[in-house]
Amino acid sequence: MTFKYGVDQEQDWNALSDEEFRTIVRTEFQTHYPHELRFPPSRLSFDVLGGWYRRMAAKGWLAPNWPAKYGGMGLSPMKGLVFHEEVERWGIARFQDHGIQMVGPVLIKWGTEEQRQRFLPHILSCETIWCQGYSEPGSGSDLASLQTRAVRSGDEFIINGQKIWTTMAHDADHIFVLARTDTEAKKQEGISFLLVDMDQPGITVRPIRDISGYADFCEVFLEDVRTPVSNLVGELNKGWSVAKSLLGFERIYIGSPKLPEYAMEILENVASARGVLEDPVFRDQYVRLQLDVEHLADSYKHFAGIVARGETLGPDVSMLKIWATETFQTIADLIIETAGPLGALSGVARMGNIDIDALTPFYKARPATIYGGSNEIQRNILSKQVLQLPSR
Amino acid sequence: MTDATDGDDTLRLIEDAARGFAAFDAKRIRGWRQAEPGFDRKVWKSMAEQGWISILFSEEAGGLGLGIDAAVTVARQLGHGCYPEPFVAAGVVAPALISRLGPAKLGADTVNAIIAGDHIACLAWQNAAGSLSPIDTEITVQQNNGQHVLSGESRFVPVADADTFLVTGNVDGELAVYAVPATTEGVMCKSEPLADGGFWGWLTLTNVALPEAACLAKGVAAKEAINEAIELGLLANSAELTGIMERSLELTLEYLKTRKQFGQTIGSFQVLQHRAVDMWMKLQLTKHTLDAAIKNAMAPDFSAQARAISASSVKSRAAAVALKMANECVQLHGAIGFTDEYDLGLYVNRTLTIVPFLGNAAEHRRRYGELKQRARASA
Repeated sequence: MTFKYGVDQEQDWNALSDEEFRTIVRTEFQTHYPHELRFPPSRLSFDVLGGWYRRMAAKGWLAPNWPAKYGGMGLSPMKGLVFHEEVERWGIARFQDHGIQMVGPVLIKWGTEEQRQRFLPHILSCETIWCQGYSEPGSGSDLASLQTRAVRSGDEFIINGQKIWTTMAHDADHIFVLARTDTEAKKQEGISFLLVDMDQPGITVRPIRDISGYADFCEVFLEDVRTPVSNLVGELNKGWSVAKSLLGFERIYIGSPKLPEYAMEILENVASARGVLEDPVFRDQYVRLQLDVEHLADSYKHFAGIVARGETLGPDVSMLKIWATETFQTIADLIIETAGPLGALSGVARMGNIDIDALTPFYKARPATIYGGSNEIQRNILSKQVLQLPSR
Repeated sequence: MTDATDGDDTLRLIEDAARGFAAFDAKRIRGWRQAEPGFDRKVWKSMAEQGWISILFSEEAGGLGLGIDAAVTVARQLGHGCYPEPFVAAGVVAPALISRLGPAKLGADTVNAIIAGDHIACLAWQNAAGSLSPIDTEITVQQNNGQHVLSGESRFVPVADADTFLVTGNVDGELAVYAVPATTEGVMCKSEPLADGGFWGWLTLTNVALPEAACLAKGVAAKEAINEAIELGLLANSAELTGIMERSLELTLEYLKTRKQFGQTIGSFQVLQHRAVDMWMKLQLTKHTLDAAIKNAMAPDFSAQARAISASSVKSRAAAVALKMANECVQLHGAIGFTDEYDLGLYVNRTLTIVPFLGNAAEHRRRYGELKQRARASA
């Protein structure tokens, strides 16, 4: 008997047309997703989101990106794009989903059958929540300089070090860690990819309060933390390749125009409440942004076309992240500028005859140009890999 | 065209031919600067022999009956080669207008001569203030014994040397289009020099008497035909700018990769790398937007309003990016980029000339904003 990872799919989604599939997904979201949780100002804990994501788990929709034989929806890249667009369009809150986004795909590509059977079913049932232990205080954009060490002792690795900017670590029970297992080797070559249970005394999680007042990310201290050798993913010292291998067609996700389009709606509401919709200074800025968002959508469609044809995205897709996040930032800036004194009010406030949270887009837009490889790093990539400008 | 593959093949053939034809020839371009008419009629004739002037004419009218995608492909390559020949004005806008109004109205002889490259027709539609709206024409028409008598001025005529001016006139508050042969009595077109060394015309009509048949269209039909022709022209004009930008960026990247200062290739400096990336990124954005607009323009169910919005959207982007690109390319070169001897300057000056043609970035942002508002109000 073959091992059963998760529930069976209702049907072969890829056999449907994109629009048929979109309708099914949209209907499910509109009918069942709790309205009060749409477009939340910060990450929400699993206490709040558990109801929805358990529903998704029971439907077999928790892992749209995994193959059906491992309990995912088995979506083609194009269907995956449609699913993601609907998630963004409806403002569905992300749970701490690194298990789905990273651990699953990594184990499917690099893990052993034993590892898959041990970890995947718990991810699919929401029993385990994973966070990502990559960045360190001294290793941000230059991630490969990381210092956390893992030393083998019998059947275990003993890990010491510190991780930072670990999103929602306080809501997770497992962490995947990049740790140095060979201190002699050059930067990228001595790093391993380890799966770690956080329920042990050597792990201390300290949430970091950000300027918006929320604590979405954390510091994670590791002191003599233990993990079995069987939790090493891929080969020893090859963790960098494991971590990097997932930069596939998902890179297009961050360039989706849905979030900027949503921010434009907020901008319009704020402008309407302030009575400046026809003001020439506002009009000029607004029309520029309309065009920026429209052209983002054109560019997104260009790259989506590459995905739909089953071709591989090149390094040029980095431009989408830059344009999407910087456009989002400009819109967010104009929202608070247009809001005037209302832009100083924290949380939801009365403007005209509607309630608007003018600061949320501003705060959301800040880290977008930093995470996932800062926009400066993206420009370095484009400069070297696309324009082929020299390094000396 | 029977299917997409045939269409793609045709486009590829046109692109290859245009690329070969339009190879950059600095000496020729420099030779026509400040020398009227500012371009070479012989080159125009050979462009016609390639079939490019007849792309938008139907097969019955003796043309190729191809779509705007083919015309755009040619325009982009001509931009890349910095060609001074007025392809967008006389190979896209005028043919689109004549085709839409019915080539028979202009007469088979004239249309055949246009297709052969022996006769140049161009639209004269702007007033002295450069309004984008055809109804603002300053040419008035008196009707008298079956004759139409035109008087007034039209400025920014893209080919000062044209053989036929397609003139917009105001007939009692209604827009009309007339075919006015340059040789008609009372027609005078003086040249105004342009940044790139070429010329636009300033047309003066003094009691120009034309037969009824010279009126090609009136009212809504005239307005719609002119708008459509200009909007197709905007796509081709944006494509020409794209070609100019591609070559300008190539020149600049080559320079960044070879020029050394402080013992290093200047292209290794991060501040310059990021500026180059930003230029490249905006060029990509322009191309993706242009591709989307061409697809839309070729879709049979695309409304006139959507087509107008789309054309302004693309031109506003192409024009803004092209000007920025011209500035940045000069700056990244340093002083050499400001010299007339270096070829980049030809592209900078060409950019300055064709950005305002059919409306610049600010004008099209304004038009886009107004059209979007109107579309929403009517939705």
